Amino acid sequence: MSSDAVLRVEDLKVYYYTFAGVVKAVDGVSFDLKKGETMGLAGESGCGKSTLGYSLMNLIPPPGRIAGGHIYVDGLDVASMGEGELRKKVRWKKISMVFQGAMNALTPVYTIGKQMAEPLMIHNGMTYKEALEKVKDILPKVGLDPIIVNRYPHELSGGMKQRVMIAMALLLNPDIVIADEPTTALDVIVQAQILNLLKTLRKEFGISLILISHDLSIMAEVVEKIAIMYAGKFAEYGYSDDVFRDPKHPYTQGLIKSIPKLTEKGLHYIPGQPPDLRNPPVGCRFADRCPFVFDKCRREEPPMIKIDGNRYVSCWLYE
Amino acid sequence: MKNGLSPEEYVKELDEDVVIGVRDLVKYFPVRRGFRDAIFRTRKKYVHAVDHISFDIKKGVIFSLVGESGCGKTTTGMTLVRLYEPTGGHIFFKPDEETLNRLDSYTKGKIKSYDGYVDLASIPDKWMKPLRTKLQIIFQDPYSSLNPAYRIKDILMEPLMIHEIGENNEERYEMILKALEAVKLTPAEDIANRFPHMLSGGQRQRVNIARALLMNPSFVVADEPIAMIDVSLRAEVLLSILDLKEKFGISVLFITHDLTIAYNISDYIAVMYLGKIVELGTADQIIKNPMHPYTKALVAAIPIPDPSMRHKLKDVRIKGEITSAVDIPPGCRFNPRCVAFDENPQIQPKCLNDVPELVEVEPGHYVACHLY
Repeated sequence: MSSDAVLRVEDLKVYYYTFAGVVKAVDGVSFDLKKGETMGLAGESGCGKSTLGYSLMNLIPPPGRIAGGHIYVDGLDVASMGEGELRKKVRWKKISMVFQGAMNALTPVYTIGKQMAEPLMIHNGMTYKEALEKVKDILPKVGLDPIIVNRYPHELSGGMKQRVMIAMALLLNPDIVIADEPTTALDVIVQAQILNLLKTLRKEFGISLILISHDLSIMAEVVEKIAIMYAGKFAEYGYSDDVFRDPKHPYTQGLIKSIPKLTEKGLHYIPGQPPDLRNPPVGCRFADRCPFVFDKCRREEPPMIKIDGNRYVSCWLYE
Repeated sequence: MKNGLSPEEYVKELDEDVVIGVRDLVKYFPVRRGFRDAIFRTRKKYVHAVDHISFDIKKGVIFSLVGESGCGKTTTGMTLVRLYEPTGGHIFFKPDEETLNRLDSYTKGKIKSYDGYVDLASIPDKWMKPLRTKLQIIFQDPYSSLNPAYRIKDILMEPLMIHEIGENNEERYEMILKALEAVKLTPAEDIANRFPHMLSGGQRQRVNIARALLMNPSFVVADEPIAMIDVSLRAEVLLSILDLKEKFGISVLFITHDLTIAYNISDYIAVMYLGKIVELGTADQIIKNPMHPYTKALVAAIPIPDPSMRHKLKDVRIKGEITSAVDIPPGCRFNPRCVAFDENPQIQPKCLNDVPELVEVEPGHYVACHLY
């Protein structure tokens, strides 16, 4: 793996220890992210993409926890850090997050200015006044009028709240920003505006962006690299130009085929349902839904197979 | 389309195969006034959810209503199946002969029919029952529209019993199995005995479709039926909805905010903005040749699954955000956000003062904009 990586994830495992059994939400994922790169995590709900995103900040709520592997951010292993250290060194400063559902992520009882100033006061030791100045500086960059520092969240529209969340994530100049379904609850026009904003900010601030979404059309609009997740594992990982043009894994092929298009009419889908992550099947996890399934798939789990340089596929077809 | 006619005249102008003819439909919701406003008797305010809209849905056609949230598309759907009482206007609905007779005996002939059409807007709730089977709705949220304490078969049995469809419960059970098979929920016996929590979102939504289908409806409203469903399962639900049209000849009003889906599933698309229809035409006309500045912005905003476009920013030509449906701007209600408004100073006085009507710009393609 290259040395200019700002984030390196090695064999990460995140399990939820529920009464009904251990849910292996993320089960052995490795990748690295270079400075200024955008990466997408895509997959059906329940495939572990959000869990993976949260684990990068070690934010997994109990009964879940990181059960194995390493997450290196700037030489620090986030996976084995304690809460206090995480707060001081990592969260907001190195990695920040734009949470899913901006509508509910802001406190309704504080003004925008107050809640945005808080991380600056805590992490940088600024006074409220200084922090508010900094907040007012950053708001125009996300296309908002600084006057909104005096407003309450209910006075803003969904798109404006999402912009506030993005501004907050950028406040402490992090290296990495994780955006978890940043446009899910938004209308199509606002969605396009937010995606435009993410693209411009990425260049302006030089951040590495991790975009989590189930919508492959959105992915195609933003990310350079894409990881297709299925049942807690990467099914395919590579540059999005390659993955979209020539999907290798049968799951990726199915997903890309099922994107509704404007160029041709037609509805496609992948029959079946993902496996129960409490006791995943022995062989390939996609075997039950795979049109190309053969003997070996049911016996052995495929490793990540490297094909042409930067492309990895977890499928026995490419052995 | 002309306004201000009597019901007889409206019906005379409807095409032969129109199932639902909406004319000048209005639905306002009163805004609750605060204590101070009530004391000082400020004028009562209304949310103009649906503001004088007209359109026809023909037999066996999927008609999509698209627009941003808050544009009134759901209200329109709910009003058409009379879950809301309209504030004004007409909804002409053509039930079959048998339903018409049932309605007649149920209401002792108090409901007027015009040439086979009844005006849903003028029928009081208590007399709607014979028509309810013919007008069905599929709700957005499949997680709250199925009773978690009932098995699927009981959920589907209830409406059959209420409307006295089928001779006895065995016959009804047979009908239920058939309906489940029609939406490809197999093995039907197994599904019928399950509880809703044992099904995925897509399967639940197909139970909802089966429930609508059991009533043998002629018109179904599908209110964002896939918004809460996993991407990979959406197509299954959409294909079941397509079956409603293709196998059963049912007309569907499909409500969605996703133009790509609307394009893939529907025959006609109407674009709504703040309670008004701004553009109406076939799916191809709307997506390939959008005319209204708002539709143009909507179409430009559609994400395209092609990574080679990644380095460009999307050119979505629209200003600001959707305005409140309480204080509607005079003239064209889109003018505060319209880019064409800024670019064409010569039409500005018209935009500011006159409400644009739908004009036919090419056969079957209507636009409400002063540019045309």
